[in-house]
Amino acid sequence: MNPARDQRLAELLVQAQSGDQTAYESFLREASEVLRVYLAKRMTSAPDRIEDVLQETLLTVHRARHSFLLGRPIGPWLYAICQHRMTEFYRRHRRTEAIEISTDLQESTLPEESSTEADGRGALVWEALMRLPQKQREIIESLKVRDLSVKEAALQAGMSESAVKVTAFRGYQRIRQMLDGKRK
Amino acid sequence: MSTENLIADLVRDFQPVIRASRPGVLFAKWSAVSLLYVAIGTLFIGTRNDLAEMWSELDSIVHTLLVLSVAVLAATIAFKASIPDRAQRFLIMSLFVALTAWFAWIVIAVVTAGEPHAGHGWKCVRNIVVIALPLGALMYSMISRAAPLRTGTVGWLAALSAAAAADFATRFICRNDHAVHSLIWHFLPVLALSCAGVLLGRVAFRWEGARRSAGAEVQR
Repeated sequence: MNPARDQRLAELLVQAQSGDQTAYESFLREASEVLRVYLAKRMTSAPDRIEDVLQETLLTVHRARHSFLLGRPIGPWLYAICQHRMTEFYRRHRRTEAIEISTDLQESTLPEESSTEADGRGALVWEALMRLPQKQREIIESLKVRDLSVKEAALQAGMSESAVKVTAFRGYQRIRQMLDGKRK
Repeated sequence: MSTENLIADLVRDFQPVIRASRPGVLFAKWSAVSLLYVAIGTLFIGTRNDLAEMWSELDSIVHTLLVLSVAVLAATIAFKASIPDRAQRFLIMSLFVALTAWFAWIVIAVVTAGEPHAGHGWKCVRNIVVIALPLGALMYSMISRAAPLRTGTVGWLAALSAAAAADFATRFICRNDHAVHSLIWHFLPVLALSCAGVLLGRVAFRWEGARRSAGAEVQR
């Protein structure tokens, strides 16, 4: 951020802290332009999510606006908040991605076996499924036996979609552990 | 919701705010109160009767100064980190150097010492906890008025600082200077308290939670 812009933004935020609503609006608009450029340079792998992270950053800026100190440059303050939101976004994104990849892997590995192998393996999987805790078993049955979508399974179980994915993921992991145990 | 609409909602939700205090000011206030509290607490519990002897031994002086430096550095970083800004790399490195030096000092003393003489140190643990709690509570309350981004880390630093300050005070109370005793009944409780501070920080510094609910309100 160039020094002139930094100073202008800092002045606007200081005025906003004292109650100037117009200055606050100008601050948010100018800050969002600066942050959009900042995020565009860094979020090259997820350009479609830049606006989401920008909005989360603006919400945090709104809540933390009292923490900007008079006489300090605004760049480090603004970028620190933006960086934090971006890190949070990637952490969340990685977690969701890991769950989805794992679910896809489970789906893609099963059909490529001969019918005898599949029957034997199917029996083992079924046995492992029956040994899962009730919630995990119900979710996996909904998704894999009754072929419901995640949304439908979530509605039926009264859970959020992400909770359904997490529960299923844990169930798959447990089944995998049980099968590995049998193989050894 | 578009960013334009969000800005419009945030402006509608806008209210003047009281600016947070500078980290330096907070640190000065906390240090003054802590020093006073530690002095009163130490005198109230009762100082060790070989205090003059303690100050004549280099080992003891270095050990005490290491504990104090950990408390001061952790408090400085905790207050600085309560304001979103660039990371204070030099300070963080200094803290890790001081913490490592403190641990290394004790470990070297344990290795070189003869007979282990840990003794029973429950009173030391009690003193550390009793002295650390108000210092920690004060620091948590000061920091919660700012806007720490990494709540767990700041919680850890705040608890480490309060616990190290309490251990600093306890060194004027406890007569057992043996390294094994220092490790088990002083260093480990400080470490345990600081670890508990991570969880406490996540709970105590709820301004982000408030942010989320405000965001939810805005988005409705």
